[in-house]
Amino acid sequence: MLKIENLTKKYGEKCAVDSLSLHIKSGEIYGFIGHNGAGKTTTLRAVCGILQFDEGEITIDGKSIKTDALECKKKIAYIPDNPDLYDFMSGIRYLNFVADIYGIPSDIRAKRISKYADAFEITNDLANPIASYSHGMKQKLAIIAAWIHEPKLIIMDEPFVGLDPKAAHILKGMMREVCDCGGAIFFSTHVLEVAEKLCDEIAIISHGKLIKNGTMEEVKGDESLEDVFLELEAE
Amino acid sequence: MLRSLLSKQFMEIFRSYFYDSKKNKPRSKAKMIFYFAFFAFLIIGVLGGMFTFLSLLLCGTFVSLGLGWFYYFLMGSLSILLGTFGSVFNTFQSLYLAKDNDLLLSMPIPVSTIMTARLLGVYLLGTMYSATALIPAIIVYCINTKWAIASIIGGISMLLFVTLFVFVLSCLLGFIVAKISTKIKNKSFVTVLVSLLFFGAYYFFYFKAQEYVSAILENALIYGDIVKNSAYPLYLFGRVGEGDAFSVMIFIAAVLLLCAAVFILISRSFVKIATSSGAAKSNTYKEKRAKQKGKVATLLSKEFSRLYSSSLYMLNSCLGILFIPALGIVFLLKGDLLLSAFSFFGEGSGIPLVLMAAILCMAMSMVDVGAPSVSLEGKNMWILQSLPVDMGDVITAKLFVQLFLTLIPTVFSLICIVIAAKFPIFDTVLFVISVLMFCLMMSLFDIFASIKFANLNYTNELVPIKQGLSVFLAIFGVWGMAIAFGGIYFAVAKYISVGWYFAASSAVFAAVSLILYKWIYGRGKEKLKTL
Repeated sequence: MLKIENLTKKYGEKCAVDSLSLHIKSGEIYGFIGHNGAGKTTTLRAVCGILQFDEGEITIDGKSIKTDALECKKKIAYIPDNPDLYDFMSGIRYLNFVADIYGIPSDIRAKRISKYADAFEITNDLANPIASYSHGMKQKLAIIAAWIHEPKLIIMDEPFVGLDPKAAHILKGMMREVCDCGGAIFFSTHVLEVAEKLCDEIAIISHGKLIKNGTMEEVKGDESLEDVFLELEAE
Repeated sequence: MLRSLLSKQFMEIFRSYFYDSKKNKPRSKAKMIFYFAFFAFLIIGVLGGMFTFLSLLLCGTFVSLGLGWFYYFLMGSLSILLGTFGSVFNTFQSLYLAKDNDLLLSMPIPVSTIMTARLLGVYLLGTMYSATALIPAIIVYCINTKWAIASIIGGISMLLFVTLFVFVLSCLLGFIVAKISTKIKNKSFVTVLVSLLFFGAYYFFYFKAQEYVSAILENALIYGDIVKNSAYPLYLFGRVGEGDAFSVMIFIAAVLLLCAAVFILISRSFVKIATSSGAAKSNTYKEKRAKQKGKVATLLSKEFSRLYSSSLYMLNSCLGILFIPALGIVFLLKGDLLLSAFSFFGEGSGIPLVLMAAILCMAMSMVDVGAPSVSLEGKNMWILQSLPVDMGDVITAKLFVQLFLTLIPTVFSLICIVIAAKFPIFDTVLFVISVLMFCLMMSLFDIFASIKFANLNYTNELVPIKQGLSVFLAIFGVWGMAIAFGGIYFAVAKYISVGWYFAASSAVFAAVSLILYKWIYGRGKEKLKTL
């Protein structure tokens, strides 16, 4: 589904991501962990075509994000760490905006909006301007917008930040549902317990370099993910 | 602490002068000096020059009649109007809508310090406008009174009073606007309506100014007596400028008291208003079937929503929508008068037509919706960048809004001019074509400036809308083009007929449009992907 080969991104002299390679298969929830400034957000932004990179290649379903960005973007959805949405729109207007861009027919989008908005309990707020939403509500809206076109690959940067426990539980269910239907999830998190319980595979990144990746068992063995992460960080 | 806050505010207002967002590094000292010198030239040279001229026109007569107070009453009132008018919306924006209000309020900074820093910013901005009118008036008066001590003290007192009074008025009006805006729903439209009433009144007086100045000069003694007898405080206000000790003490004491009252009023309500999410009732969502739209239509709808959501954006970028048709109507009603005025510059249909075209093109600069549009994406830029939407479509939507809002009033105005002017058909057709081509070129230029000088990092939308380099270029660049369009004809009128001049101009505008189009949909499109 997603192949990252030797991804390198530099900001001036500083190398934010250094020759990173990852393969994310269909049906997988792939966690991406690392300290602050490790290069997680840079990688995620490069994957969804927001950030140009210096070296390497990223392909989504066999198509290059560099040369075939639009085709790639049709298959993915991205939720950033800080959901800065259009404050001047109402929630429903924003969802219709995204649905129009993806060309989702009216009846299908209505069903999906209804399903997810009800699940997150924000249906009654959809007519209000986004400017009046709390951080958690914006995050919920960003999640619904990401799910509205049933993407094959969902890229999320710290998706659980700001969500209440119920919403976080619902999101975990939605993530698993996407993978059960043949999709894939690639997300970053600092919450190691969540990564440990939810992910099929994980990658640990430090100072732009991949230091360990594989299935949860391969990475942590009998230890806790927290212990492994701290040990690797100390090295 | 206060110093840090003031420094932050100063840096934010003049950020583009200190920092090159394109290269992501501070500007060189030479560039900073150049930008500040140019800004000073505009404020002191252009605006100040206008008021120096007015002061020279009035001062001699009034001083010789012993009506120095009346001169100061007029110039002081004008300064108060200009200062208040120029800074009231900035006050509202910078006091109550600054995006870092929450951040600063969460820090261990006393509210009074945040308030003081913000209010000092308001004071300085108001002073910039009012002093532009008042300082030339004071200097001209001092020259006329041979720099007498009383004139100098009076001048300084007048400046102090006027700037503080402007500050009080700006704060009060900003407070009222903030209070109202927490209660109403269609804030942006109401704000635009109120502002337009202000503008209407302003321009009414502006166009009548010459008439009023002549009338005042001819009947200075009579009007002076009327003011003195029926509104004594206004007489005392004028006397402040003459250096009358009693008036100076009364007015300075009064304005200081007003300042203290305003500070107390605002500091008591600042936190409540600045952190208010609005008392407007929330809307109830009713599920209904949304009509599916195409990508460009969706983007277009988004651009219009962005525009309608902000009164600041509408007021600063759409005034031409009213002014351009107004020009046409003026020509329809007073066409003969204008044509005879234009014939002063030369005989035949050439000069009036070229001047009309140049004026119309200049007025188009007042529609510059496209110029801040990329910067206004701000932190939302990731949405367009991550969606499967071609950046060319994003640009087309922005360009369409710019063209649509400029073209419709321009066509209306052109129809009025064509009906009223009755020039030869050949010349008229080419006149219309050249103006329309200019409209296209200007729209493309605004979008070019918007992409080239995009700034996504700001804490107040005032920055991209009013202070951005793209907006500056969109206004003054278009002025320059319009002046060149009109001015070059005077040099070549002997060698080329007006019809062919318009044809040649249209060809030039088309060529420039093509170059801009190529850049926008080539390098510009690529730049948008990586902003």
